[in-house]
Amino acid sequence: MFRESMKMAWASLLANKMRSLLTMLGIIVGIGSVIAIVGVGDGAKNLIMDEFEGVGTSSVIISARSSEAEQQDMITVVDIEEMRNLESVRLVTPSVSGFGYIHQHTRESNLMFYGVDQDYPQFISMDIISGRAFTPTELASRQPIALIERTSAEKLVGNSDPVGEIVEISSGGRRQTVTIEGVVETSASSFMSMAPDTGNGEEMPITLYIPLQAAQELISDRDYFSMILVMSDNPNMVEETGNQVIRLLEANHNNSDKNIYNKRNVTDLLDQANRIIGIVTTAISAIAALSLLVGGIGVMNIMLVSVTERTKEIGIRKALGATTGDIMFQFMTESVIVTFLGGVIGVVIGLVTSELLGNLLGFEAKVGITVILVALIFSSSVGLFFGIYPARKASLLHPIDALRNE
Amino acid sequence: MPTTISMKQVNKIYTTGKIPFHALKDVDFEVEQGDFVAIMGPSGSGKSTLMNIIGLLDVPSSGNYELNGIDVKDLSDDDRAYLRNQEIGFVFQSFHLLPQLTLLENVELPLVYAAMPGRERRERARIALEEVGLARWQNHRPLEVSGGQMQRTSIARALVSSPALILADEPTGNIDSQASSEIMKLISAFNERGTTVVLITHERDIAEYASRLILIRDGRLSEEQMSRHADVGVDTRFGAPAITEVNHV
Ligand SMILES: Nc1ncnc2c1ncn2[C@@H]1O[C@H](COP(=O)(O)OP(=O)(O)O)[C@@H](O)[C@H]1O
Ligand SMILES: [Mg+2]
Repeated sequence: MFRESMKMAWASLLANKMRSLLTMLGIIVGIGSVIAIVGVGDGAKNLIMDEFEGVGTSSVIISARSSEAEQQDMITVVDIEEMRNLESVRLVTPSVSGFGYIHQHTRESNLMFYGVDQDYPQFISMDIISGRAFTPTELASRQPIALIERTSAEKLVGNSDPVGEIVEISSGGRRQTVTIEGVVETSASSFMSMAPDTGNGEEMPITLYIPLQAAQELISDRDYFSMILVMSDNPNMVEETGNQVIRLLEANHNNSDKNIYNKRNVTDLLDQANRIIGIVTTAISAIAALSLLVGGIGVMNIMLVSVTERTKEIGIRKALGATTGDIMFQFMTESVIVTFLGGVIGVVIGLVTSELLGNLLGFEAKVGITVILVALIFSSSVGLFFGIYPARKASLLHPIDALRNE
Repeated sequence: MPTTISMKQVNKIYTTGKIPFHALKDVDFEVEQGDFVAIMGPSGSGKSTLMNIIGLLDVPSSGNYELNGIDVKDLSDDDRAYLRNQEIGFVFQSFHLLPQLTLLENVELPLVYAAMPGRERRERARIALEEVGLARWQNHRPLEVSGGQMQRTSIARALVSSPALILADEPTGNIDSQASSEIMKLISAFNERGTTVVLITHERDIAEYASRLILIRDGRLSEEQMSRHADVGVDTRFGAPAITEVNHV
């Protein structure tokens, strides 16, 4: 009976291809948008997770708000030394970065450079792909040497080895000639590729790591910082560690009333991302629910038309021994198949959409098999629910009245 | 021999219209196992109404109807569906085949509702089509074959589940005379093998195939004694001259 009903439902769908497709439209849109948003949302979450894996969940970023902070509020070397003495603090490293240009022969490219000290690699893992790492002495110096990001190296010299290459870099009018000593792959690589544009066109900047002091020199020659990375001794105490560091800074700079310092950690960023994703998801879900409702009513309408058109068929089947249940089952099967197929098409469209959006936004969209199964079950349930009334109507037709129908 | 159909004081009053319509009036009617009964009457006299009640497609408004000793009043809709499926084969004037199905699939339908497995079902349906001479046409759809072939298909469908009773409501009403005699030969053949047949017609030469003739007029029945292979004369009660000479095997 089941197979017969499937066959019958399939035949009647094929007989009315266009109508069936239009009926499915609401379901397709509903399921498609849910799948797309789930894919994009989960992909974005994964991206954030991946990117901050390098920084680690026990790290916290402390920064002075650029809008509020004046020179006397900036983080100094003395502050950092005192922080290192705090019991809850394991490591501290200043975060110094800047934009500029890299000049090589006659070519000029955008540059993003980071100042690194001996603790920096503890926060951001840096794997040497070729050449060598900085020695501790070099890290503590202002020597004109640099490490280049793997993707940047490809951009700069193509397939040849950039190690030993001498390039000129400039930032804010200051110039410096540096020798590239190694190629690195860092945990923040792809995160960096998402760094804000320098304003000079689309191209991603070349990323260099240079000794901290060299970077400071290139920027301003100042020895204070607006941002530092702090690693807590205990991953469960990140929040508390951050607060301690801020209290220390406020005490040192006597500015506890001005709320200058800001702390962010991976969990904060994830929460923030989740909030945004949550809002978008809710909005899209509302649209999806609406189109599923419209789709469901559409299915009900089409099934009612179908029952009317096939009144005589129902009469014949009843005369030949179909029970109320048999007829009910036949029509329910049909409406469930319509919405199930709509769900399948919706899932495919949703997957393609999230893939495209992911490519556009620079990450990999992820849709779990559970989500797909739930979507298919849900779309089938819409057919089940909205199919009840038409199927009931069909099954209760009186055989004589049905047979007389022409 | 057990009585298969037994009606006592059956009335049917349609209440669907503005005024109630009394379509069957105090009908007493008995059909025994293996009978071949023809019911004749003018249009609107209540033939189909009677047939629908016999076939469990409709219920009497009052009176008693027992099919194979079962009082139909006691039956649920599903019980009636089951009995129609198992005990009764229908042949309708306008065939009532499903146009989207092949002839074979049409013949299979009663077996689908009898929950017979696909293989066996197809085999039985194929044999039934063979018996009515349509084996070659099994994969055609109804609209691709002639009226006579469609009616033979519906006979195959009526017989495929080996019912005890065949109800034919003007089976030759929509087909030409040569096809009609083929249809009647098929029905007679099945009757000779023991299937009870109730045949509705308004053509006397078709009625001649039966062994009993019931006349119906304005919802009332009367039985006419039949003399086979004889000139039955003009039946003036019907207001129109009926066919007088009947020749068949
Ligand atoms: N469902 C119905 N509602 C009302 N009147 C009906 C209905 N079915 C049949 N009739 C009436 O009952 C009478 C007998 O109909 P029917 O049994 O179909 O006659 P026949 O088959 O002899 O032509 C007709 O006058 C017809 O109009
Ligand atoms: Mg009739």
